[in-house]
Amino acid sequence: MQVNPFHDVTATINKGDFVSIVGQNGAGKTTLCRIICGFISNEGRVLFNGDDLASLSIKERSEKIGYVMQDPNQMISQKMIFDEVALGLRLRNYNKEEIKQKVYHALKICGLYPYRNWPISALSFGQKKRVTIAAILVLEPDLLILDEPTAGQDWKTYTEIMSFLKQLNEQGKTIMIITHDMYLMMEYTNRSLAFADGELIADTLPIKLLTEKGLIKKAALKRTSLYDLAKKYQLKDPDAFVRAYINSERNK
Amino acid sequence: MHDESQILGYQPGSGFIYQLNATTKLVFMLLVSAACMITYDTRFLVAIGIFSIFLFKEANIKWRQISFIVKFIVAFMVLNLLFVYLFQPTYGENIYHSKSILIHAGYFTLTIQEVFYLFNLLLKYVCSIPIVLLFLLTTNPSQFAASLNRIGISYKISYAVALALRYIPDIQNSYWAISAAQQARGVELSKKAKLSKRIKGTLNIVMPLIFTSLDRIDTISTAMQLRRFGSKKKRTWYVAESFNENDFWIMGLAVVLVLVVVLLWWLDHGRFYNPFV
Repeated sequence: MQVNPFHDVTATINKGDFVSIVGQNGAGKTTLCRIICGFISNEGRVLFNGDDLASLSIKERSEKIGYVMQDPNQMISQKMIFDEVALGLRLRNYNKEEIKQKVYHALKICGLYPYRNWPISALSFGQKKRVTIAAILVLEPDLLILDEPTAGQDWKTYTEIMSFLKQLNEQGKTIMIITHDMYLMMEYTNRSLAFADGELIADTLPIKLLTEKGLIKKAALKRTSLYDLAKKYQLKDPDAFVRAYINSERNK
Repeated sequence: MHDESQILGYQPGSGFIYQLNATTKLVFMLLVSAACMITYDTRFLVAIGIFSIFLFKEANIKWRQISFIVKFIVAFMVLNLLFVYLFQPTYGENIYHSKSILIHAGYFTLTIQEVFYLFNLLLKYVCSIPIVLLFLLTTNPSQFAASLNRIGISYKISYAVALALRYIPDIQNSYWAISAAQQARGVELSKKAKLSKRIKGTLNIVMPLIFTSLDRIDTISTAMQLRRFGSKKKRTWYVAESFNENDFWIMGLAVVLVLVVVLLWWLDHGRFYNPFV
């Protein structure tokens, strides 16, 4: 539960941004998402493409904004995996053939295609998380918000999901990810918003967040071991070292 | 849109009522509700009704917390009164042995006596609902369980009651979370949808809610058993409250009110206070 209400938070997310939202537990990351999606009321203004969202209901906002929650159990309402992923499409009156195609595509991305005819009760927690991601991906929203999407995932699935998100981003979709995973933050996102005590303490490149001492402490992040390694070997430019490593990983 | 303060459940607070022992409040609620249910003495009901509302104001309950349930109860009450009237419009005359017609309408002829009878029914709601809501809002479930145990009720039953009390806000939170998730998938539940669609959508939430709740009950009881709950005959409590002077006064008051009802029964020669003869 949010202990410190937001204070002076202003940010503009541009179309095509791939943003990470970081901060301590309780800093306000999930609350921010809830405000954007309309789950809770707020005092400030939330604009989407210039339009004030205040008059739009949760359902209306969901036509443009897709939110994958941290707890998949709060999202899942159907018995079968296929039905769960197809739910949003059915509510939007797509025809059967289209639904089948889109659902299968989304399931393939999330590594769930072999389970397409299974019930959700047969899935593990990590797999359920993937179902919820698929269920939102399939709706192709303009803005995609994911709350800790990679928590509980094995490396292979993690990379598959993140690569797909990267692809989507390259095609123009805007993506926001709440994460504690510094590696994800640096490797995939090009902008980081750090929250602490209800305030936005940084809106910058991910690398800066992990190398500037003041920010690290306030956002309760941990310096990467790469940086510490660079420092130990007294490299002239630890920042550049970390960046070079990340880039080489990215280009693999 | 929804937030924490709209949940109906225990909220910590300060004030006379919050300082009372949980068992005192339970005893008071049970005795006074029973007294109000038995009697049809309008004078008594009016007095308790005013007292009830006064207690409610005293505790500074926020309207937001109770608005939904109050509206629900009022709707239920109106239906209740309506059906009582429709099924036997002559009941009032029969009880009060007199007939003063207000509106001529054949079978549905409305008499002052019937209105008076319905007024008594309304008063009963006004008397008991604020007290019950007050109990739910000002009682810490754990302290309640401890108190029940101290007055001799088996700790397993006390614990079950406390869990049930804790459950009320939990179910509401789950309901709102599921509702928000459903809306975010495209089910329109706000005022922008037709009422029939909203009702249907709400029912779609209730089913998963029931199933997750049953699952939770299973998980919690297993967790409790893992901690060896129930393996011994007695247990100690972390949050036990003691009784103080105010508690005895309040419980005494409740007993006095029950005695007043008994006295009024004798004075009125029956349950009904009859101003018509």
